[in-house]
Amino acid sequence: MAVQSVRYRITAASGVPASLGYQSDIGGNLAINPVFRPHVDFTEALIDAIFLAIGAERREETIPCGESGDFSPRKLKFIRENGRSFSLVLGNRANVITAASAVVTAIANANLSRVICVELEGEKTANIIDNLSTKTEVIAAARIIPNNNIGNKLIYSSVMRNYASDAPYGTARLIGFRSQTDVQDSPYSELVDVINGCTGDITEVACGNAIKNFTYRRFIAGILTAADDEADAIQNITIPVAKHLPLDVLDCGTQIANSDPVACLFYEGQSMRLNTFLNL
Amino acid sequence: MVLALKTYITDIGKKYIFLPVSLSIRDANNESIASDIRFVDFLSDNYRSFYEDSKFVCRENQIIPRRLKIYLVNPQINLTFSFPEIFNQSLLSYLTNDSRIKAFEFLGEKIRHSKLELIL
Repeated sequence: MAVQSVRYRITAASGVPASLGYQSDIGGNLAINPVFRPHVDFTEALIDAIFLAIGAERREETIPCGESGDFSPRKLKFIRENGRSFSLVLGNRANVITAASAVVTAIANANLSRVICVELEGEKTANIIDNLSTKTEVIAAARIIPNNNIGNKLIYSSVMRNYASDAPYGTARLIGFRSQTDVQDSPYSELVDVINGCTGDITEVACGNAIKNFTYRRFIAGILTAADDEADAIQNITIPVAKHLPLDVLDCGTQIANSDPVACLFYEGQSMRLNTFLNL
Repeated sequence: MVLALKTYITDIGKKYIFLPVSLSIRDANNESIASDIRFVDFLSDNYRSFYEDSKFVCRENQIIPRRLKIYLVNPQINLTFSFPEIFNQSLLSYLTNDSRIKAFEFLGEKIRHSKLELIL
């Protein structure tokens, strides 16, 4: 029986260096050094079957200069009937359903406590403003202030008509979103064109905004804001990204990063429960 | 709230704003300790103005800003904190003339390889 941690790497596509198998949501291949902690009832053969299912292989060496710090790669999280769970890094969003299904099947075929729940956890980046921005100065914009009549911050909410899901890859969905703003019934004024470009077509009509066990992919922009008689401050706003292809996500991020008041920029990939697609 | 450096310019000239401040407090045995002592109380108004409490900050995990380490007379502890300026004569004079400070060190900034590749 296997109990020790097993180091692995994502298998690279043809033409990509073997160390760079992980494909970021924003484009580009990254070096990462994931470690799998198999449950005590997992055999070596099952571990190999799981790696094969997610497009990974065991590794001997640590890949130099790998991602670290605040970067968290996308993962599939498997929860078993016995209450235990494990996570695996997934190198490619196009394989979410097939990889998850193959892992579930491998465990079922081993006649072990079965998987009853699978979740996709989107990748999270550190500050990537330097990756995407060419501007040399950050210029303060309007402060997002409480609405005097209500006391709460202004929130703009709407629904993306053509949100392309990561699972199944590219499937269109209606997805509601909310974001702080400085003006009634409109996205944050300084970034309105950029935000509209990232969300694509929107509608005000939907069956409620939130979908259970689902969070859309998004950039979180730290914006330098100014207000009379107050010190400059950073304020965060969430900007959803409707398109799923890496070049489109990158384009959205680049537009945000190069906007005058944006001081820092973080990305969070889509997260969702996959049970429906796996017949669990 | 998080204490942030309002502006930080790296040794190679790239400017960042609202970087979170790191702070370490250690006793005479160099063991990390909890303490209510505030490092800004040992700075002049001019130096204090470099810092601001902020609800949101711009974290940069590939840059470790310059740090100043001061050894206090009483209690005998040392404080290490992010400091935006390059060490200079003015800072030297200030630290030397403060009787609460018995010694000090200046620790240079660190930037990771991948960040340097991006900004150079």
